[in-house]
Amino acid sequence: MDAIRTHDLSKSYDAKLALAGVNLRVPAGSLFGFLGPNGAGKTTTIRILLGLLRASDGTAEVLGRDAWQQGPALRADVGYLPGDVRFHEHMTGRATLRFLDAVRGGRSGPEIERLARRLDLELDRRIRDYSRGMKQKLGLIQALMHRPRLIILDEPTTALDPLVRQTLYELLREAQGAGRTVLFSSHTLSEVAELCDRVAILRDGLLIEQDRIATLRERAVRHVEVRFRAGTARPPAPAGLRCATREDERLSATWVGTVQPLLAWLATCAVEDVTIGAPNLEDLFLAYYSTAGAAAEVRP
Amino acid sequence: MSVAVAVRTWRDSWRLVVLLPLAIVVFELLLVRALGEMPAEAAAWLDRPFFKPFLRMLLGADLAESFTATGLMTLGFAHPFLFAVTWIVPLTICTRVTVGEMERGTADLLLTLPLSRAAIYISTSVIWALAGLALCAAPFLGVWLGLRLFPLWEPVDLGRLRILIVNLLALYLSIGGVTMLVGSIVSRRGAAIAVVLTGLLASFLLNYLATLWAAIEWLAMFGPLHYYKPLQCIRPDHSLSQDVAALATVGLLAYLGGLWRFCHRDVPAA
Repeated sequence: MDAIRTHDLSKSYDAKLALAGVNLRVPAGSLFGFLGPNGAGKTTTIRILLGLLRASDGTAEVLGRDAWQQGPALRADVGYLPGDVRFHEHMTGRATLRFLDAVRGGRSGPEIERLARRLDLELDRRIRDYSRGMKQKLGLIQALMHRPRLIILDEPTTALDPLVRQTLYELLREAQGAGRTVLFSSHTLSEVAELCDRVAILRDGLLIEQDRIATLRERAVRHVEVRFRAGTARPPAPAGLRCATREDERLSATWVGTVQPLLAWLATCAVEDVTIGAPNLEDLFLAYYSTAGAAAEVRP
Repeated sequence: MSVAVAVRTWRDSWRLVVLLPLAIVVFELLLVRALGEMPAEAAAWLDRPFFKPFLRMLLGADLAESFTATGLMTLGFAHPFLFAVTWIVPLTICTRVTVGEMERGTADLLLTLPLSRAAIYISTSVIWALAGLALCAAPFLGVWLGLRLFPLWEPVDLGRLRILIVNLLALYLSIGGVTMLVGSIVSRRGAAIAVVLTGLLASFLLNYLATLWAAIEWLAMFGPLHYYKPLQCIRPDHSLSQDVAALATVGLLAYLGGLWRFCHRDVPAA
């Protein structure tokens, strides 16, 4: 079952198209990365899922319910951290959480305390005295405190120090372990690659990829360096080996996919030295982000 | 309707809702004391060139023509301080959620709670309506208290004065309804307040100009203050229902229009 499912989701502001026919599938229980450069349409998609924006076309279902028509009912099971979370500055952190909890039924008291301890946040100070990182922690607590089935986080690590970031990753892994779904929006590949098991990539309002991270890794580019023994004959290189430079007996190339054919070919050559790099997701994602790369990789 | 949202709106607004009616009561009390001191002098300045049209504009009729203690007390329901207060409260409360939270970016959390937007809109309105009851009853309470402490030269018909609460409440609710509508349309709180305030000031000025220039009297009927006539209301032959109906209709339609718009509007990232 999918926790989130959109069908040809589109959104335009006046003449500008922000989303163009997005078909997103977020399986229940997954830790799902939502990647894309700034302005790609990630926040617009999230806001449609939460009923803050109305889609111009297409449908969006969250936890089996229509995001616009059945918003109040589905939001009971959703925790959301906005990209730029804002609070009433004159209230204390505790009063803010108490208010949000009261609207949700008032059952989150112990969880609020637990999360505040985990994230090391003092709740009895006024929010105007909080640093940006503390406000972000407060935003995380309000998103997690009611143990929602679906957690939607828009750029959640902004302003968090590395230690708190690790605590957040732990909390999200625990949530996933408990069968909950996490949609983790970010423009930073490294944190998505570290945390998530699946990813969708959005660029210019188009969904250009969604798959398991492991599958993407298989499609990522490896850098290959080979030094052949001088004066030896070499059988033709397998298809897929893209030669970058060739100088005397040295070959510098890239390889995409499983390494078996490459190793089989190398075994038939007289090789003095070989280096095969780890799959480089960064290159793959940069290719997706760039116009030319995206055009080559877009899947139907 | 969400009790939690209503309680929070109350916590954010209680100073206005409690202190301003108290200020009105004190002001009315002092006004009664001042008017009781100078009935003879008052009659003289009521006929002066500036005051006569000004008072006619405020009260809806010539005070000098029916100079009684009850008539004089209608001043307590039509002074600029009361107008200012009855404008400030709806402008403040009615723009708080519809546009203020969106401008600040705090609407993201509020509108992603398991509440319908209609529930949020109505919960805010409850506090605005309760504030209206307190504010509109305050002038009567102040006059009543003032008359007990400082009786005038003749008895005042408090029964006639009491119906002014209805006219004032209808005016207050129509201003609030229009403010809710404007707040649901625009994206900046300052703009919402400016639009409504401009309309009210225009109505105020048109009412004044209409007392001097009969040719533009028809224009004044497009402003809400045209339907608030305290001195006419206390006359036994005057029916309040038309003015109240006009104000209530505009207020209700604007309020419902605002509700529809608020429920359907896009909330972009702040």
